[in-house]
Amino acid sequence: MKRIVFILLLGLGLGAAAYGCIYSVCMSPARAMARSERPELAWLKEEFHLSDAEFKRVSELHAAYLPHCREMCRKIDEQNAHLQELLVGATNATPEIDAALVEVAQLRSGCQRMMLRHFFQISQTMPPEEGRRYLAWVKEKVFAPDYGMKEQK
Amino acid sequence: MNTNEPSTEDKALRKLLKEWRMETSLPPQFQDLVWRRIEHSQAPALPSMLVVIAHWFGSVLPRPAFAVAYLSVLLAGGATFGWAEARKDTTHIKDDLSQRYVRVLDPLSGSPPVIP
Repeated sequence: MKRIVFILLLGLGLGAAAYGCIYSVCMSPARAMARSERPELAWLKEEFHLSDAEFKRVSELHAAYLPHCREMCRKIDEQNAHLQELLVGATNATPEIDAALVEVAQLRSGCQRMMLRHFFQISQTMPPEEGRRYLAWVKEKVFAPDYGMKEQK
Repeated sequence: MNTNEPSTEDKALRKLLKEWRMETSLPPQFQDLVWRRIEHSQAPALPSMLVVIAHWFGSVLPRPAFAVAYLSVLLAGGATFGWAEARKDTTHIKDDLSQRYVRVLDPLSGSPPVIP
């Protein structure tokens, strides 16, 4: 009887140990990626099979892009706040509201131009096939007709 | 209230039963039939599935070939389950990171990037 219980427990122990070992080994690359200094760039490197030199160049482009992006964010926030002020209590479209709307639209298109330029630069840093795949992916993500709508719902 | 005290109705019933005499004869082998029915009602119930499995394990598992097979199945099952779970969780992490990449680069997404 003791032998049977021992074999049963040994089987359960082996199964649990196998689960833990395989799970831990298979998860370690993803965990390392998530724990890295710039997880999104680590993901980019892994997903698009970048060499160290390509990754270095991509990281430089990324770092150079971020201040512009931040500046755009600030302008968009400012303009949105200005538009909200104009809309409070407004019952008719005024020339100021029209101008603010045009300004918001211009900022948005400027943003998209800036992003697109950055995406092209990044894709040109990658091997040709990966660059094409990157562009297809990023266009689908950022320039899809319903982009941003799902998140707002 | 003492419920063990026979009520007046019980007393009347007992009296009636004592006075009662059976005039018809019992069917042949009446006692045998009664005992057979008692034995049948006391026969052990069919063993449950769990008992059958436990018994089967108890008789089969000590054999080395079956023990090795049992351990191998659990080892392979655990490894497969671990691999499948890791794959699912890795996909989830990668999806999150790809979304994060887009959010960091897109001022229109509403979350300004953090400059290190």
